[in-house]
Amino acid sequence: MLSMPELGLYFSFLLFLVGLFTVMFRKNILFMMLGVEILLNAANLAFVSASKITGTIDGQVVMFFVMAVAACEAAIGLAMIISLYRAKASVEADDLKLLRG
Amino acid sequence: MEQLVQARLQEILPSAGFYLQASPILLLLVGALAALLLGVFRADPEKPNFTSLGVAVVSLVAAAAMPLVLRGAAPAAHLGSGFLADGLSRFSFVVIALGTLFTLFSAALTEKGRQLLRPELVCLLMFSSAGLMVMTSSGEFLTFFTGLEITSVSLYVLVGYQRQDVKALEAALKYFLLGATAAAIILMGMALVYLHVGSLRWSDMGTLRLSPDAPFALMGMFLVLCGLAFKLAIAPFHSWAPDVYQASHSTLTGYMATLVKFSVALVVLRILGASVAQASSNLVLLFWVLGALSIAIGSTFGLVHNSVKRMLAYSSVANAGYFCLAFAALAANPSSVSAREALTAYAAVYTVLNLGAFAVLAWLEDGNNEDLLKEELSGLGSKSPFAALALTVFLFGLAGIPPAAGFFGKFMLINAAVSEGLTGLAILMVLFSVVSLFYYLSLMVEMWLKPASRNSIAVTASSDSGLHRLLIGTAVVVSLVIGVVGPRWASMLDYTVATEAPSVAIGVRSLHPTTATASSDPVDAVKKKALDTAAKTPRP
Repeated sequence: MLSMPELGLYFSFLLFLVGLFTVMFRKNILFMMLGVEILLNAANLAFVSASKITGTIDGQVVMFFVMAVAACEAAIGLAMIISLYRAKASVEADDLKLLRG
Repeated sequence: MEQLVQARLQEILPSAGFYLQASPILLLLVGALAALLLGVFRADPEKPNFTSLGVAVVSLVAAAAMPLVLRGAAPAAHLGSGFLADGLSRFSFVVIALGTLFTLFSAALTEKGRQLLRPELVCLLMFSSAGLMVMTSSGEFLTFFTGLEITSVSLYVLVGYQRQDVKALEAALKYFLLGATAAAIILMGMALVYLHVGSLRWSDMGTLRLSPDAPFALMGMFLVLCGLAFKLAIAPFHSWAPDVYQASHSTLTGYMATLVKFSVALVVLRILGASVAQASSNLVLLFWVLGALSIAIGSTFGLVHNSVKRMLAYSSVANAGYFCLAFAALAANPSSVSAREALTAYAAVYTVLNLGAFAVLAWLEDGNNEDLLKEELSGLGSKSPFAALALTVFLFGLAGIPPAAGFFGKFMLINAAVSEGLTGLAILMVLFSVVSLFYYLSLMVEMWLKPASRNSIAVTASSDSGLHRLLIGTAVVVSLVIGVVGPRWASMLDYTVATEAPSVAIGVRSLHPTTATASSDPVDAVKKKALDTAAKTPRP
């Protein structure tokens, strides 16, 4: 039987995979951004679980930093998506094809 | 318990020495905020603001001078391991501050650059440089990650800075999505390493044995290094680089292609040199594969492209592959001095060469297309010989032809790799250097041997000022001087990494003595003893 923090750790791996697949296979940029947020939160969960398992407090500190960073990234990303939508009236990744060597 | 916390607080809280040593970072942050504030009082928000540029220049010059003034100081760790004041970080402060200064001047002296030069750009550029400095001087994962994100978030905005340009917006979004994913991957790797070691400090990871017996640690280190490889644009994580380099303004491209790679390379040096003190064949293999792929892809894909900036982007992918030689040598022998010297020397030389090359491109783009094609350079040698000559020197340097700077850097890299038994990778690098010579030479053929055609361009009179020639000339002279003298200075750097006084992070258990009796817990007893001895020894 897995203990609670270990369960959290394995669940964070699952979340990480979900996030990675969302970023890689979704075509809508908004959903891709959601995938990035899932990835960051998976890492957060892993840090908190690791903090409990190792009995040190560093991991919980990291979590707060990451939450701030995730907020910054979301702000920047949404701003970009809005500008893109104004220019192209679309947020699909397939419409981003001006830059092909 | 009180005592323990007090002793730890003494180590973590900033001291007077910290403010002195970290003054370049603080100067940049203060300068950036001042530049932003000055923007509030401007009459026309779309006009360039030279007051904020002046503030930025002053703070950057001061930031570059401070490390030189303080160069005699002994290596010391501040804020726990959050800020390491040692030779490596002082060196990186100078390079980053001067590189940012060069970027700002290059923007201010070109017509298109001046249109960008609003206070926000100055502020973002300086925040980004401050982030780079935080990164290169950090001694643990948390500070490093914070610095990385300060830089990345500023850069996402900088790439998409010309909001009217849909291409730039598209490049910015690509960069943002991939960059944020890479950051999350680095973070997950950090979590796994932390799970294994129980500490975020790189100096605590000396015992980390990376083998399949410790799957979490191995996987974690792999994730961290792959995420960093993305930031360095090492193949197969390079797909964003050509798009982003092509779509942003050349001066900003120069900044991204050089200083970011320089700083991330130094971080990899710190991680490999300090944390993975055990030689690891798994990491050697990782860098072998990444390096070989990157060198091969960078050298061959550049051949098929017609856009000069895309070509230089692939050249930078190949150059990031050359870094891998030093990384692999370091992974094979973490105490290797020659690998350290080769990496710092080559990273700095590469920075000078590419900053120069992109500054010349920005100069040529003035009054012409944003994205120069190869055939547009035809006949440049007779139309504007100074620009053509400067570009030739930088391209020769990147190709590694002896009189220019790149040769010694490559020589040192190969030397370091061969002495650690990585002969195969060194041979691969030499072979593909020859291949990459084709595209460097094809540019030179266009410039010097082909006659000017209807499409070909020249430097416009408005940006052809004496000051601009002086700026480009400085970069040429620096790269030639390094080339002739050889990067001897790399061996004069002090590679001693500052380390914290030996102590153990305060654990959850020691903060709550009721849940685990401190006397009966052997781990806590050991920690307490270590802390007591640390508290008795005077701090440097």
